[in-house]
This record gives sequence, structure tokens and C-alpha cells, in this order.
Amino acid sequence: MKKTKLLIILLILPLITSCWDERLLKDTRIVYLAGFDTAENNNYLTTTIIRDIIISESNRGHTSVSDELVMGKGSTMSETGLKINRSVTGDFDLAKARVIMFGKEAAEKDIYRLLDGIYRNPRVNLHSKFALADNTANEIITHLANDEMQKGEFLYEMIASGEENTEIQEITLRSIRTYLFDDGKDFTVPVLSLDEEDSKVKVTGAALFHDRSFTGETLNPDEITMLLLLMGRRSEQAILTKKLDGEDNVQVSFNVRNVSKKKNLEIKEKIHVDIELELVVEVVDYPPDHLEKQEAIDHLNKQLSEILTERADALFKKLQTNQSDLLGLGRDLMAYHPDIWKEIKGENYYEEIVVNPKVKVKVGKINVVN
Amino acid sequence: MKVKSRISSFELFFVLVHTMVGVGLLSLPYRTNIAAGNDGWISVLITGIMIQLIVLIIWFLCRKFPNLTLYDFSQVILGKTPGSVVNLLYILYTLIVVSYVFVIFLETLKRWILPETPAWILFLMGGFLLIYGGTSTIKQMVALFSFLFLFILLLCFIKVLVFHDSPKDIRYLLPIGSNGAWTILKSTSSTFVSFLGFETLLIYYAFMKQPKKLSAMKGAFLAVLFVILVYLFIVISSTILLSPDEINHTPEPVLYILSASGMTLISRFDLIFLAIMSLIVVTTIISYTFSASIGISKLIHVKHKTSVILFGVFVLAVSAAFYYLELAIPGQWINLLIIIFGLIIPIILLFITIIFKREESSIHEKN
Amino acid sequence: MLFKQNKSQTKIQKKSSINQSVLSIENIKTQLNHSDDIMERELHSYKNHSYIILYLSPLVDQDILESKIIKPLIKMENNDIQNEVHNEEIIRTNSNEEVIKRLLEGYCLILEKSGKKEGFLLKALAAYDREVTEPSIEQTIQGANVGFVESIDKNIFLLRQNTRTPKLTVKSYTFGTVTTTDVRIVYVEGLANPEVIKKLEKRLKYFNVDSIRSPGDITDSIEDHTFTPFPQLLLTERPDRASANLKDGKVVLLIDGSPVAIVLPATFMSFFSTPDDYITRWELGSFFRFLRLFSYMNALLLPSLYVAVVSFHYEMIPLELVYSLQTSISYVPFPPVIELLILQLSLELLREASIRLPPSVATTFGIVGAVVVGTAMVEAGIVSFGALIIVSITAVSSFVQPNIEMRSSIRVLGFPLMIYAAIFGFTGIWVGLLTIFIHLSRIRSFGEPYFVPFAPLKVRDFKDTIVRVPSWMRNKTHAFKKVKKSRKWKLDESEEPY
Repeated sequence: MKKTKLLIILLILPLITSCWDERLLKDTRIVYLAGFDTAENNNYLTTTIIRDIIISESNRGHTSVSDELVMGKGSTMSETGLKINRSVTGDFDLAKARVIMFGKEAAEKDIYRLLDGIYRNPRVNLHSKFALADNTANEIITHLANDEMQKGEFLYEMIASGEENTEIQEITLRSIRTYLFDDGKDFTVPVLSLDEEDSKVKVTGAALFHDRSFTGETLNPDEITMLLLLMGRRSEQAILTKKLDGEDNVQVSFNVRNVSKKKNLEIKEKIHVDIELELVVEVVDYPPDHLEKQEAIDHLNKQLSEILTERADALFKKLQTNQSDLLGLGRDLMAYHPDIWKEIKGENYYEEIVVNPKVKVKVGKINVVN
Repeated sequence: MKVKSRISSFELFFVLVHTMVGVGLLSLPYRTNIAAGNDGWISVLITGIMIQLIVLIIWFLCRKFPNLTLYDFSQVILGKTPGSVVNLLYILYTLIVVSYVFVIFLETLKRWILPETPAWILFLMGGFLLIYGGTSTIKQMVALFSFLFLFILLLCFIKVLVFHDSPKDIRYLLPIGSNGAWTILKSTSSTFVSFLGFETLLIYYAFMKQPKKLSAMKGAFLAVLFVILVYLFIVISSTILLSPDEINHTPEPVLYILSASGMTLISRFDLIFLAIMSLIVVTTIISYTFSASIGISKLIHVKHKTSVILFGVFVLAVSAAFYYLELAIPGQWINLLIIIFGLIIPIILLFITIIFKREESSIHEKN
Repeated sequence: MLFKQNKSQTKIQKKSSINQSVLSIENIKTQLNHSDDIMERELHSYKNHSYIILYLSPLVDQDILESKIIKPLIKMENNDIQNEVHNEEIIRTNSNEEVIKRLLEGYCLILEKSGKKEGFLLKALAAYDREVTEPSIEQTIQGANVGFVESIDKNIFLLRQNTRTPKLTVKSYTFGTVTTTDVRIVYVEGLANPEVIKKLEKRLKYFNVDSIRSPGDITDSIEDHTFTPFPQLLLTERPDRASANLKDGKVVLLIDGSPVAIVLPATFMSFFSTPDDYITRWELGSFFRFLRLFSYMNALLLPSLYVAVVSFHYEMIPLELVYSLQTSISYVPFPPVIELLILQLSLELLREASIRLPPSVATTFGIVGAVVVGTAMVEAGIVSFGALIIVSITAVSSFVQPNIEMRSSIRVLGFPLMIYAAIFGFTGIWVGLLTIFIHLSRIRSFGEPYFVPFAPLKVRDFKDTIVRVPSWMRNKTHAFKKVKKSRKWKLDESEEPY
């Protein structure tokens, strides 16, 4: 009997206490989009869209949804969050954030310092995408809040589809942290900008990061596809369109089917990295056709190889000037040639590396139409 | 006092696995990474092999006294009073270990999901589970553990799933052995604490069927092997998924990795993982409680149930003291304790047994 | 263990069977394990011949026995049974085996007392066939439509019919000091664990009441653990199920006046099987088994998971779902756990109310209750759509569980779990679950672990618990050791080479 009494007490005990960690869903204001900018006097500005549920007075069962634009200013990130809390009912909660956006200026500083507060909170959705606004995040979010059509998941879906098309490097809050703590690897982040003409938010390219801050240089989608292929990553499809030399106005679009990569390291006065990329492509769009002939294919192969090699070369020059080691060559050195790494270790190790890319294109499968 | 119930080698496996896999798992990659960098897995492997050897030593000792627990044969080997002192030391050691696990577990829980909930209510719930689980018989405990073993497999499955989904970089593991043999060897001292629990074999071996045979040890060896494999996987996967510097800033890499993962229907695997992990941590506590209460009931001649309750109260008191006075038990101390109680004392006992030819029969003459 | 004991017992029986082949009352009784339903009656005929009539009382129709056998026997002038007793079938035999076989088929044996080792078997089988009722709760799709009735003799008749073996043993008890009630223990000697029988008899010995009001009086006092939501005795109203359990080595307890049989020891998983599982093909049977286990967990955990997710960990579910839940929850004044409690309570009310109503009204009532009230509650903003959906799924899942007692354990455990979840979120759920697991691993049913294929873990026993493998692959059946050979025949592949 004693035992059962004890058991009953233990069962009832929690009842008389309160629910400390309770966060009722109906009381929270879910943030699915947050943008961080710098403001004057070393302050920061957080802009978010918060979804509000309005219960119609006349008909009790019916609710409508409205998105509210909220801003908060403060000297640290967490202070901006507090400011936001004061202006809305419920809590500012990043647990369901889908996209975190940084303004250009904010990204030029050490972004880890800004993100630190986010990483410390165990509730933040680390699966959310990360993006850079080409001007301020505030501008883009304000625009989104006013535009009826482009709400909700819009940005997330846009970035996700960009990833599928191998136009954006797959980056989440969680993987950024890995890069930030890695000396031998850098990353890119999609750049969002507001198109003045049709007033729409678009992905215009990718921002190159070095170490922990934005270099100021961006790559266009074409370059990123090239880059991602060089990194050996190919999502569901990777379509490139190139203008062929010597022929007027002849464009060829192709989808990369298969990527294989060989890397070779050679040490002279500098470290030479030869990258040989072999792409098996499928022609998507090629008006002149004649692809049933072997010569035509050979010709195309040769031309595309040349063009792409050239592009890759230009790309690496760009990376070199910005010290952005996207291929993780530094990590390669650390892993396979630790002695060399010891010599060149430091912030600007990339200066010591010369990359010679070589792209070989092979046109594979022919489509339904010959 | 001979123990009556018998468990098979297969069941010993479950007991040892559940005692060993515990709260240390969550922060294991962090600790190995700080101590041995990307070679943490080698350190785990070496420690594992050492544990296998220690288990062998414990077996040599225990097989001389079939169906006697440590608390019984310590008195045979050392005599009545010194034996009792050793028993008391073991009980105190278990008390400290359980309190340590308790506090670490509580802190993890508070850090990840229950930041506002006061600690005392969590202490009470833990204490309830400890007493309720500890008062069972060995058969019932084995039954519970064997069932919860399915949950360990589930944990491994979640971990594999997430590992498969996350961006990996195998280069983080390379170059192998770059930290130097000495650092790696030294680092084993910090991985030792994750294997906490093998020393309960000193008690549980008494329950074995056919204790003289080597086949009785199969369960223990397999248990250590299983734990080594799980730990290796945890350490290697964390090293591959997170950059080296990042792990140094992430006290619970296992949970951190899971927190960023998800599928279409469920995200935040860390919450599920932590919930299942909690079951496994509580089994560690239950197993230790069971082993200690055998000693307590031997020492002060009370019923098993009473001694479990006694032990539970002490654990609550000690861990609450540690928690509220913010006395951190350094992992190094625990390491030292394990080495003393898991290795040195069994070796001393074994030597005395061999040199002075102590045998099981001597206790029967006395009784 | 059990298996070995059985073997040694049969050996002993073989040894002594040399003498047993002689036809005598004592031998027959021994071979029928001195079952308490063997009736023996001595008769003196008109011409002063003495006869002994032996029969199994539940199998025999008393009217036939009286009018067609006993009456002519007494009036008999010559000692010529074959001609003077009129019966549809009379067999003259001196074989013990034949006698036992026929006794089990409802014959009665007439032996002349004067020492002739020859007996007559006369048919007197009771024809209860259509007097029995259909089982009302445990209905099957393809199984037999026979249920236990209120008369204990008829019930034993039904069991004997389904389990035709001389090893079937019936032991009778009478309980109650003021009013008395007959209780019978039925088991198959050699299959049932003697430990279990010993334990049951011991517990019944301590059972001392002035009167038995319901089977609950007995079950309460013979169960291993009373303070548990889990039933350790399986109640069934189906003779075929009880008989199948007998063949699996279980013991069946019958109480006079109660149309249910109590099967023991019952493990957790035995509540998840139905007779239909063994009638349908094994894939389907396994699927339903699995479905039942899943729906049990579903009914137990879904409300608490909902509470935990909605009030603690909404970061776990997809954003779209969060939005729709939030929209429906936001106008509800109560916290989710109260919402669920309100709904659960009204559901319980509906459930309780509909039992008392005649079936035709009950259907309408169900629709009114569930659909109209539920929708109105949501419209009025008392509960949210989410909670309504959760409670309905929970209710439907709980109805999948075939056993009422097991179903009630969902309710008993579900409420505390829900409250724990409301206070601690996931932490509350795992604490609750672990408590349940520890409890399940501790309780026993007549000495056998209750949660058996799981705790202690016996993967091999999954064969006939979680999945239902084809009958020839089962390893559990002691009775049909040769079953494994029933698939020894090979598909004739030579006939169709491709």
C-alpha cells in the first residue's frame, strides 16, 4: 500500500507544478524569414516577417492570415530580438526560420560574430538557408512583405530550386559553421537582389566568402555552375549555355550528366594544382544539329572543351584574387601534404597555389530528335 | 553468500552494453577531438582494446570465485575487515559515478530542451526511475535491458541515416596519425571515461551460468566490442561531418549534428535522439544502482529493496549537492577512479589470490 | 524446460501403458487424467445384474442417457444389451483405446460388473450445436460462429468437442460460502506447464469469498499483479480460441453462469491475436497483427505526442503543418492538453452512452455524437481541428485492439502520459514510457514473463507474436511436433521445367 501511495504522490506531484518550458504554439510568432543588417553607430538592424492570425469578429470560426513586417534595432543581435519581442505579441522565435539573410555590409564583417547568438540557441533551425542581399536585407524583406504574391516560402523555394539546378551551392546555417571554422575551405552564398524593372526578388549570383567575411566579389550563375562542377557536385541537373566560337549566333545548351575529376599536385616555386574535369553532357538545345555524325560531335566536344577550360581558368583567377578557396585546396594540402601546408599556412595561403584547370567535354546521349 | 539467479552469456551482453553506453556518448567526439584531434578514433580503438584486456583480468579474478560477487570475494581474499573497507570504497565509487552521470545528464537535458524547468523536479523524476528500476531482480533488469537494446539499435539507425544525408568531408580524418603516437596514447585517458561501466562485471559475473568456462565471457567480450564499434562510428562520423575547429566549440557534437537534420515530416532529430538516449542513460544508472545495492545489502544486512532506496537517496543528495553548489566533478577524477577501481584493485586482488592461493572454499568454512 | 518435462512424462506413461490396455474403469480414468467430468454410475437391473455406466458428462445428452440407455437397461430381462437396449449405434469392444476414443465422441460405456472384460459403447452425444450463441464481441470474418454460453457443462462440451484428446483434464471447484458457484479448470495434461497449474491451484485454495458475483472476483484474486493496467488473464467468448490456447499449453478457467473463458497465463502479445489471423493467409494475418501493435502504440502515444509537439517542440513538424495547426489553435481558449481532455471526456461519454442503447439507435447516436457535436465544438471554438483529428484517430486506433481489457489500458496509461507531456514535453513522454517499460519487464503472468518476446528479448519468438508465420514454421507448438514435416513434400518441379 505504501508503494502505491508513493506512486500516486509521484503522479500527482507534477500536476501541482506549472509547465516551465511550455511554449504554446498559439502564442508564438513564427519567423520564417529574418534579415540582419548593420545600422548607424555600430548598431544592427533585424528585419523579419511575422505571420499573424486574425480572428474575424463577425464569424468566430474563421481566421485569416496576415504577414507583418517587424524591425528591431540594437547593438547586438540578441538585443534586436528583444526589441522585436516588445513590438509583437508572443516571442520572436527562429525555430522555424527557413531563410536567414544578411545585408551586404553586415556580411563584410566577421559573420560568425553575428551568428554566434543564433548558434548558441538550441532551438534555431540550423537547416535554414543562408542568403546575402545585394544591398540590405531590410530592402528585400520590406519588398516581400508588401508584395502579395511573393510571400511565405518564396525565397526558400527559389533557393532550393537553384540548388537543384546546380546554380547555388548547397548551404545551410549548419554547414556554414563548418566552413567558418575551417581554415582550408571557403564557401559561396546566394545573392538576392531586387529587380527594379519588374519589382521581383531574384537570385543574381553567389557571393564569394573568404575566411569569415564577404570578399565583395560575386559570381554569376554560370560561373557557379562551373564552379560546382569543378567541386564535383552536380544536383539533379546542370544546364549550361555557351556561344560557340567562329559561328555566328550559334548557342548550344547542354545538361551535364556525369562529372569526373582528377586532381594532381606539383610543387615548383609555387604549388601547382592541375585539375582535369571530364564532363559527359547531353545536348539540350542545339539548332544546327547534325549530331548523328561523329565529326560534328567531335567538333562540338573540342569547342566546348576549349570554351569551358577558358572559363574555368578565368574563374580560378577570380578566386585567386579574392583568396576564396572554394575547392578546399587548403584542406587537400592539410590532408595529403601536411608538410607543405605547414609552410604556407596562414590567412593568405591561396596566393601560393596556382590552379590549372582543364575541362574535357564529351557529348553523350542524343535526344529524341536527331 | 552465493547468488541464486543465473543469467546467460547472451544476457550479460545486454547488461554490460547498457551499463557502458551512456551519457558519455553525446560528448565523446568533443573530448577525443580536444585530446587527439582527428585521430580521436584511434584513441577510442586503443582504449577499447585496453578495456578488453582489463575485462580479461577481471575474468581471471572472478572465475576463481564462481557465483560470488566482488563484495563477497573481497572478504575471502583480504579478510573480513579489509574486505569490508574495499566494499565500502566500491559503493562510494559507484555513488560518485552515478552522481556524475546524473549531473552531466541533467545539464545536457537542461541545455537542450528544458532550460527553464527547475532541476529538483528532474532530480525527483530521475530518482524515481532509479529506485523503480533498481528494485527489480536481475532477471527483470535483464529483460528490460534486452528490450531497450532495440532502442540502442534505433539510435544507431538514426545516426546512420543522418550521416548519410549530411555533407561529408573525408579529408577531416586525414592525415591519419598526424598528432603523434604520444598524444594519442595520452588522449586515451580522456576516452576511458566513456567506457565507464565495464567494472560492473566484477559483480555481474557472479550471476553467470557455468562461470568457469571461457564461453561465459563471450557476452562480455562482445559487449565491449559492440561499444567500441558504436563509439568508433560516432567519433569517425562526427569528425567527418564537422571541421576540427568546429568540434572544439561544440560540446555535444552528436546532438548538434542531429539538430540540423530532418526529413520531410520530422525535423530536429536531436529531440528524438535525446529522448531515446535518456532511456539508455537511465539504464546505466539502474545497472549501477543494482550493483551497488548488492554491496550495501551485504554491508549493513538489509533487504535489496531497502538498499536500493538508500542508494537512491544518497545519489540524489550527492548529485544535488554537486549541482547546486556548482561543484563540477572533473572528468579526469572520474578517469582516475575508474583506473583505480576497474584496473588496479582487481589486479591487486588477483595477485593476492594467486600468491596466497585464496579459494572460494575458504568462505564456506567460515560460514 | 517445459518441453523436456513433457517428454519425460510421456515416457513414464508409455511404461505403465502395458497394464492399461486392459479394459477397466480404473485404467480408463487414469488415461483420462481423472478428469472431474467423468461420470460413473452403478445400475442394478431388474434381473439383478450389475452394470457400470461411464461417460463424460458434458458430452452426453442426459435425456438420451436416461430414456434410451438407463431405462431399458434396468428393465432388461436377459443379459443381452445388444438386443434389448435400443440405440442407434452399439459397439462391442474390449479395447481400451477404442473406449477412450468413443467416450470423447460422446458415447457412454456400459460394463458388466461381473468381471467380463468387454464393454458396450452407446451413442448419447448431446446435440447442443444450435443452442449456442454467436460471440458478440469477438466476431470473426471466417471463423466459427460459436460462442460460450452461460451453462458450464455446455462450455466444457464445446471445449471437449474442439479439443478431442484423452489428455484434456477437467478439474472442478466450488466456491462461495453463502452462495456457491462452480468453477472448472481445463488443461491438456502434458502440454500445460505443471508449474502454472500448481500456482493456479494454490491461488484458488486461498480464494475465499462468500459469493462470486462476477468472473472479476476470481480474476482479481488470482492475477499476479492487481495494480497494473495490463490484464494478465485473457478473457474469450470463443471456444475455438480457448481450444487453440489449450493446444498451445495454456490453462482455461470456466465459471458457471459466465459466457467467457479465462485463459492463462496470458502474455502481452496474446491480446493482439485473433482467431482470424490463423484463418487468413499468413501475410495478411501478419499484417493485421502488426497493424494492431501499431495502433496500440498510436492510441497510447498520439495524444501525448500531439500535446508535446504543439506546446513544446513545434520545430519538429513541417512549417506548413505548423501554420495550419496554429491557425486552428489560435482561437481556442484552452491549452492543448485541456482541449484533448475535453474531447476525450466527451468521447468516453458517447461510448458509454451508446452501449446501453439498442443497436439501431446507437448508429444514429454515434453519427450525431461524433459528427455533429465534434463539428459544433470546433465551430464554437472550444476545440481545434488538430485536437479533434488526434482524438478521433486515437479512438479508432484503440478500437483496433481486439481485447476490451487491453483497450482500457490505453486509457489508463494515456491520460498520465498526456499530462506528463503537457508538463515536460518529450522528457515527460520518455519518463512515462520508461516507467511503463520497467513495469512491463517486471510483471509476470503465472511465473512467465509478461512482455515476453520483447523483454526478455527473444527474436526467435517474434515468429508467432509480431508476425504470424505459416503454421509449419512455428516452433512453439509442442503438441504438433511433426508439423514441421507438413511441408516436406516438394513442389513437383519436374513436371513444369520452366
